[in-house]
Amino acid sequence: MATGEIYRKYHKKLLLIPAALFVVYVILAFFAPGLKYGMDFRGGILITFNAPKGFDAHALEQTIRKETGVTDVHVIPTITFQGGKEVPGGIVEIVYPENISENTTVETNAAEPSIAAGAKSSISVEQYKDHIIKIIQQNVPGISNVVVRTVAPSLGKTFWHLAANMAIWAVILLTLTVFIFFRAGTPTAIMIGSAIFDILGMLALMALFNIPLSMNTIVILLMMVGYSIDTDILLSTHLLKRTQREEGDAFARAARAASTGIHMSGTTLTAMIFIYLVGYITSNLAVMRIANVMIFGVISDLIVTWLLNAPVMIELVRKHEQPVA
Amino acid sequence: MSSPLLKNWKVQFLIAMLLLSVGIILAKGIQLGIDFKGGTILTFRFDKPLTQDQIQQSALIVSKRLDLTGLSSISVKAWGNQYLIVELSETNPQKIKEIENSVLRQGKFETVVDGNVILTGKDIVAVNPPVIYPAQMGYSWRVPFQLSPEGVRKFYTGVHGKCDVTGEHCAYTFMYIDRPAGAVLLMPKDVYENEKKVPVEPNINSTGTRLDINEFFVNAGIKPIIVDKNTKIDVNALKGAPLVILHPELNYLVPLLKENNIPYKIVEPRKNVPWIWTATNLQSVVRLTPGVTNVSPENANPELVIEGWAPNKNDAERVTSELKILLESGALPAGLKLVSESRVPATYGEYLFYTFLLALLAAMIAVATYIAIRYREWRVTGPIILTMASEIIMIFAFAALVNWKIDVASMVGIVASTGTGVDDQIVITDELLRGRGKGEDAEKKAKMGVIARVKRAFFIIFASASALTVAMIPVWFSGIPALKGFALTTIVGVLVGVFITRPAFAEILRHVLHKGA
Repeated sequence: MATGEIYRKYHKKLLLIPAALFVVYVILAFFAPGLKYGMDFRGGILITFNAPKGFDAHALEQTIRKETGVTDVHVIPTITFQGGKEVPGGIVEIVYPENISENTTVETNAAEPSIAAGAKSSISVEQYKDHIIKIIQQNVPGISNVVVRTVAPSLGKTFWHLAANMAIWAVILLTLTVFIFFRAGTPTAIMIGSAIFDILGMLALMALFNIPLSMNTIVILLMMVGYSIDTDILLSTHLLKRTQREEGDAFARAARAASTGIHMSGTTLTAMIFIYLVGYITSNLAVMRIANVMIFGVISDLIVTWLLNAPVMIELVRKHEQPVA
Repeated sequence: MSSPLLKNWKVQFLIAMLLLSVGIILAKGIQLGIDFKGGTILTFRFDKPLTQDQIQQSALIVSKRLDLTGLSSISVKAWGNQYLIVELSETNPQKIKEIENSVLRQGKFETVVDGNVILTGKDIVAVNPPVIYPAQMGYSWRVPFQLSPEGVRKFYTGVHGKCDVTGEHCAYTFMYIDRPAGAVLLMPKDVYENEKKVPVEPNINSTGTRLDINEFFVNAGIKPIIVDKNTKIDVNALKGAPLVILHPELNYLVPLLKENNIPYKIVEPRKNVPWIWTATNLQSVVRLTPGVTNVSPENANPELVIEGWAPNKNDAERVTSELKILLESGALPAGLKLVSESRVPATYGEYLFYTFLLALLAAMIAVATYIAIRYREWRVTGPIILTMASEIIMIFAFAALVNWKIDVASMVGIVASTGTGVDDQIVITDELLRGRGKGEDAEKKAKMGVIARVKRAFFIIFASASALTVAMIPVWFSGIPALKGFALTTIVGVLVGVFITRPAFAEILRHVLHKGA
């Protein structure tokens, strides 16, 4: 069935899909499983390494949990292609427990050189990294190319503060920009509404796939808002700025916008899948997550633009056009 | 491309900008950041916010300290009013640790006699090469330094009369780096009993002079609390203290301190060094002589020494070079903490960069294939690839021009802006293809409509480009170092697309599809 026909027959019923999704999104993002804060905002450690002889990721994860007492530990096995060869490797990500402070020391069961074996000692957050690397070295034979990133909890707080400010400003500026281009309240409201729906969709998918909120993902959220406005603008120009005589009725015009818009999303998806692959073969967790969130954004945007915005705008426009038709 | 197309100013502009970009890249080269070049980024946070002057001064002090360690390609930048970001090409964990330690010291030098500060680091004008020589059970060392005239006056006034007439009873000068004045010291009873008489050199087995531990408390400016199993700790007495210094034996008090939000530091004992020396950052204790205490400042020697002892030559060398660096670079206005570290080995960085370039190429081919399948029109694919490639080249050229170092975030920004940029090309293509109707009448209509259609497409392009740009502006101004690259390349990519490549793309496509209509 052509897109125009679908809109003609079902445009009101289509609205049920985003309505139901909205409920699902809210549950996923805020209740179960709920979005998590990553190491950027809570502080933590990210270690990437090559393990030419391979290793047991699950066992390493258990060991780190046991020896550090921190529960938010993820070990992801990876395969990288370095110098034309497949090299196994791993990513260890640790997010500090909530309310940890820099003065806090982390309890460990492992013996430090100066302390008798078996004794419970405490080490500072700074020393913590060395401790984790030591555990990895002991459990993974022959590790090399160790990439380390640490963020202390206090820096995490600063980052969160800056990121929140950044997001608020972006939303204000975006609203102003859209309003300046359309000089009308309704399209602006629809676009901002769909931007919010978009963000909610991304947050829900992030929660579902266990991708924590980080600095990178916040920027991608903002970027995807900018991006999603692309298709919204496409739709509203087709519906509002074009005449019925020239391009057919609202259904046909929406369908035409959709045929362009869906392919726009198609190319973006293609590009993002490639970015994801690069992230994967370079064991770059950040890049993989960026691609993931962008893919989520494109999917959310497809839903919001063509199942929510389009039917709503068709209805709006149709009221004005009926006498002519 | 036939000649009428080359005469179009939009196409000419694109070609000119492309040539200029290639020129810039060839002349200046693309600079890579730590992510791709390998190296370490350390972020330090001051205990309190500083003024712009202070933080710039701190950046200078830290770079001086790092220069003195003999490391190359280092940059120290202030971020906001509380952070310093240090970039190093070094990735050896041992070396990084040394660098961290040298930055983390506030480096506040103080000489104290009978509890009064008589000299600070500001009074030092030069530090002479350290001297190390074998001594009892180890090595003795000396770091001579020169005082300013004001320093000479302060020092000799301060020590005046600190020896009795016979010269038998003289006071001692205590020299500290980062003296924990005002702190509360929690000392286990057994350690206290062991150290009641403290040697004047940092060697627990020293056979030389020993002084009462109270002198060490007074000069360090600390309040000692001797703790044994039965001691009831009065939390209120600790609450106002800027810092509580703990012996690791008293670890069990940590939960109490945490609960009451009292800042604390556990100082591990060093082998053969009295704990009081380590806990108070004491560097040197020197006995005054009548020859020093009775000199009038006018005739005084401006050279003083810090003396010390170390169990072996390596330690002596390390301690003296650290001291020299700290005295020469001066003190930071506040204490520091290491709050973030990023370490990328050089070989890995290089691998990452080439993988990214490869991916860029692969993504372009993938997008082109998608478009070729969608339009089944090979003439569309060529210009789209050309546009993407020109955008990438121009973004790199801009980065080279402003000396921007390409990092992972910048690279992702490039992919994102060119990737979403393809969308605009699809909008243009769809508009133009739609105008290409069938039959003579349609052709006539199409001819008239082409310019209007391109204009319409550009309304969508401008609106979405503006939206993307305004979303990225706060990201740039947030100043978060790891995000600036992303904002920069995205904004540049969008601007290049809107003002240079896409107008030319529309012309090329119009020419290709409508034969110059």
